[in-house]
Amino acid sequence: MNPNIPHPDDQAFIDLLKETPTSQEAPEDLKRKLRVMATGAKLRTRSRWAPRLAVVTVSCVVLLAVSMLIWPTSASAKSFQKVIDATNLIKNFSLTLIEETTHGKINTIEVKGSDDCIDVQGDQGLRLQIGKESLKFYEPQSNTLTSVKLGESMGTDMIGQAIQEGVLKGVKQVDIKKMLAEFRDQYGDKSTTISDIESEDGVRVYHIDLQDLNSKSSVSMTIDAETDLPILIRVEEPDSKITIRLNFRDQVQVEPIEKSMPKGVKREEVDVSKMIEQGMASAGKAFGNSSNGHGNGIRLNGKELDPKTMNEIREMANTLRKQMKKH
Amino acid sequence: MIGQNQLLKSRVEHPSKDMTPVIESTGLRARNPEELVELFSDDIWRFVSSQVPRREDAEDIVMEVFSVAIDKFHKVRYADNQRHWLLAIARNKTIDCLRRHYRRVERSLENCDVVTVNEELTERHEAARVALRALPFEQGQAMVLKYVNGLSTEEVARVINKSASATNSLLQRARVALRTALSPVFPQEVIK
Repeated sequence: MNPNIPHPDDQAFIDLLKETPTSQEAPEDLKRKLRVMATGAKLRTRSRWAPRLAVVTVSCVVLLAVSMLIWPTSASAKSFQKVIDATNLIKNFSLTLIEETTHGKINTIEVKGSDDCIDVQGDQGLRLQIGKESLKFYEPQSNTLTSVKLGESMGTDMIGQAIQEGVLKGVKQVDIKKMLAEFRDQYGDKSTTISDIESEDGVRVYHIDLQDLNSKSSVSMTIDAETDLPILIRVEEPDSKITIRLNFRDQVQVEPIEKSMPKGVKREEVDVSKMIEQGMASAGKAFGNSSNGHGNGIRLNGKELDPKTMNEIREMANTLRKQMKKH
Repeated sequence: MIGQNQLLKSRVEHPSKDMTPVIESTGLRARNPEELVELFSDDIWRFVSSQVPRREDAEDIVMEVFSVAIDKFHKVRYADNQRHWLLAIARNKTIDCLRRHYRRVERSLENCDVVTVNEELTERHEAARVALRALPFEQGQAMVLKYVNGLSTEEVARVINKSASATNSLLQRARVALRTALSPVFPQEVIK
């Protein structure tokens, strides 16, 4: 029997069992006790968050998605290695990044990744979608959807590599490789603990904790024992904190970005492959090398785009150009 | 929060629809222990008091559940589904309590003593309550989660830590057992 189809007797049993609780609401005196318990609870103190990663929000999330594939090999423990091996095989995932600022503001960003597409959605409405043949991003302030056509002639591997390299280069404020290298140096075997398997929220999990007592910073991961994939990662430092909740179990469907565009959206198109065909100079002129003297500003079709959101695009294009040159 | 009464009303008005996704889609998430109590105490109470005969025991279990949840709020806060987390804890606590204090014996309804007398309850509901408590632990809990707390079969599976198909079979067996137990009492009614 398909468990998704409601049983025909459902209504009868709902009627039959609806009065089995002593009452539909918890007794008021019980609620009062619970409230007192909740109010008096001393929660574990948490470090205040620093807005370090807020500088390049969307880029940072892509960065973290990429970082799953190259998570640090800081521990020699067998279970930690399993996690690293498992993450190397991931092609389908979704994650939610929760960033808490020093003012208590919470930014939530969602990333979905399928075999051929990565979708990043910020809570400010900014959206980025990277596919096999194109990169699209939507800026809510200008209500503009910009499509960067990457070209069919490029292989998926090359695109993936270029995206990784491009994003990593584009986000100079947070150098992921440097950060991971620091992790490796910071957390040695002595600072790494791996728990036994336990049941948590109905899922068999174990925990890996990397703790640096000197600097009071830590990385803690909750790992699904069945898949050896992380389902929760927390990076906690004295002045900042990031929590990433991951889901590798459910099949991820990434909807085309066009489907959720608001009315009156302006569309811009850039064909990188054509530029490359026309000559490396054209691409260089369009991206990066032709910065028009207004800081990081970039002009496309005579219009200046937001330099922060275009920064990683420019770097990506540079990387693509290099890749094409090799070919 | 969608209350149980509202859920039941909706089910009656739209009998063809499974209303459980409505609850799931509300995405209730407590940001602090106080909110946890406000959002979920009724739900946990319904689950526990459906199974534990004595009100005092039910209250103790609910207190224990929230004590654990508040103590581990740093985990609860980021749980995939806080409601499921609490229900899973409540389930374990309820089993512990029943094993400690109550001897559950499967027997026919004719031989059951109707211990709790509440004039407000209909005879039918009282019989259902007795029959429900005569079910094996897992069957009884699955039925309560499904029909009292309004969880979908998949959600029930997550709480009781079984596969969806195994949970479906469990529910099927429970429905048959309830039918069997109650048909002598209500041959013309609910249990067809």
